Amino acid sequence: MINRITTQLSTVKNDIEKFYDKKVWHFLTLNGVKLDESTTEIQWIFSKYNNDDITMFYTNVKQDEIIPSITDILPSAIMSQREIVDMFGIEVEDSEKGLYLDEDSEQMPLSSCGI
Amino acid sequence: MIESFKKAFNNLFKKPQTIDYPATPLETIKGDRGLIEYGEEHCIYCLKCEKACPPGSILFTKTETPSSNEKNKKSLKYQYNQNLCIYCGECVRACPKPDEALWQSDKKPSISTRKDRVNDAWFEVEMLKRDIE
Amino acid sequence: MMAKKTINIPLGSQHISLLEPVKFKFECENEKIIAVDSDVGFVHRGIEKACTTKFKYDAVGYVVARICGLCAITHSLTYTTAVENLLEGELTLKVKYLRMLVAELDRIHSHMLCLSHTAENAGFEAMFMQIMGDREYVMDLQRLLTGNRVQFDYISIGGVNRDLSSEVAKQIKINLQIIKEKVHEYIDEFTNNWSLSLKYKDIGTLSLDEAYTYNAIGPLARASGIATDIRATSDYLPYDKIGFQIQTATKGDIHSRNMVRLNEILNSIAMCENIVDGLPDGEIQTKFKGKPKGESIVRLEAPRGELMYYLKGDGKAMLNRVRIKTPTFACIPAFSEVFTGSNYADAPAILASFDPCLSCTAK
Repeated sequence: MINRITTQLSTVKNDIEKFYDKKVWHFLTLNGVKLDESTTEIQWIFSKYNNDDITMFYTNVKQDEIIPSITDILPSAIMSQREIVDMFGIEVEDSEKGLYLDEDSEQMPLSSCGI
Repeated sequence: MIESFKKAFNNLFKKPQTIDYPATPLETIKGDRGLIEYGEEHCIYCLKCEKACPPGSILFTKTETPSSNEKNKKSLKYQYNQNLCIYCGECVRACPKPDEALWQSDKKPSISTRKDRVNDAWFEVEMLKRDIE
Repeated sequence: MMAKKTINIPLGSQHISLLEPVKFKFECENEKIIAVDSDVGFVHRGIEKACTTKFKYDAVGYVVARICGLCAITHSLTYTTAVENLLEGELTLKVKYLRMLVAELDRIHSHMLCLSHTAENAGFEAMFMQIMGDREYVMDLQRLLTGNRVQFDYISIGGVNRDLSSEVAKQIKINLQIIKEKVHEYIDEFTNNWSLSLKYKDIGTLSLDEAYTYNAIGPLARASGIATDIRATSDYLPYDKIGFQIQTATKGDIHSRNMVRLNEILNSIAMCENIVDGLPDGEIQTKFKGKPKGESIVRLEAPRGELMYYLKGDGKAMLNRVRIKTPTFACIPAFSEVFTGSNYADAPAILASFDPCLSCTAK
């Protein structure tokens, strides 16, 4: 079962800091789903260490907003954040472009699928 | 450490494990996955194999010289690309007559050279298919 | 006072001991590494985009199996389980047992490849050839069961593609008995050989606290002491009925990771024998109706760690979003943490003991 919790861009860092305990919860990944022309849903997915419970924080983001970075709480989130910058074209703090794509390839490939 | 010395000494007198292909031909076992073969007399032209194939290596195109099968109402012909096929067997599982019209053998595909024009011939078949749709 | 000078040395994308296309740039000061910069993404092929634009939902299982050569069957199995959650139908118990058999045979040959590569990077070429020669017993079994040595294409929506006949079952038990004796010899060799212990013990350590901070998974985490394994808690496949036991170690160096992998091979051999002895009767294919609608998350244990799939569909033949999280992708920050502080000459042996799979990382 997936437990969905809604949040906002301005409060997501505080929510995750209050919720996360490093011996109980395990950070899985950061995900993006394109809902329509200008809105993307960003999800932060966690699961318990010896259980099948999944908790997901989600929020809707427009194309020109900046997502805050959570690498001071979770150092391993840097890889998923760089992937969101490459694939969707949305800016994230402290994450630079160029994980997968070069300058002369097609940019932001996932920003036009699923609509 | 004495054990590894003994083992290394014994390995001096064993044959190598590699097969020197193509001097020695490869052996095929009964259950190997190989080419798909077609029996035209039993086919009912339902086109289920064309919809089930993941890479799209079976296509039915219009032809001027149709076969004498009475189920072939739209004058279609079966085309198969042995280089695009992944030998998964989805077409055999989707066919309503799996051992008479379509089955999987254990033969390996033949080696193609540049004279066979493998890619260009298949692009022409795909163009024929796009024209009738 | 002169400022200390540092040199940049790449363990580049082309290296004589590297099996995978990854680039680490080390900043070294007098043989000790003080900073690491990594670059993955040399083999990006755009598979997530292709799964939602070019292939329909029943063909995506064959596309996804071609992301990686070593963990191919686990990708296919996880995707098929996730899609079956969004359709209507019921699997038989025989199908679940056959899927577990193929996944465990895959785990045995993948761990043997990693152990032989670790021995080669420490300089012991004879052990590399020995383990690769013994791995042929498992490859022969896979060819008899599924028809191919590496890419199986064994799993489809609703069941498996071939049945287990009695001659193949007899051959499985003969070959697995041979491999069990050889693995006991390897455990003896890896533990008691004096020159290997200089290269492996107390080198490349990841402590328990660092493993929790950097979210390590797979044999890397189990060798540091975290008892995390998806096979212990999943309810898609009945692992508790065939004798699964979790294997851990405490020190977190290269020697502990080798021991965890060797013990996992012994446990997988015992599980395969239990499956072949206790296989129930039933059909191997059932029909699943409908088109995928909703969202689902499924996690399974690949040989290198935990693999996660997220699917979203809205009732059409093409899926809306396919998100794949592979084990090596999540562990790259932990790799950089282990490299910092070690000697430069140990870097190839440490990298081989992580068992990276870059085709999975850069999809």
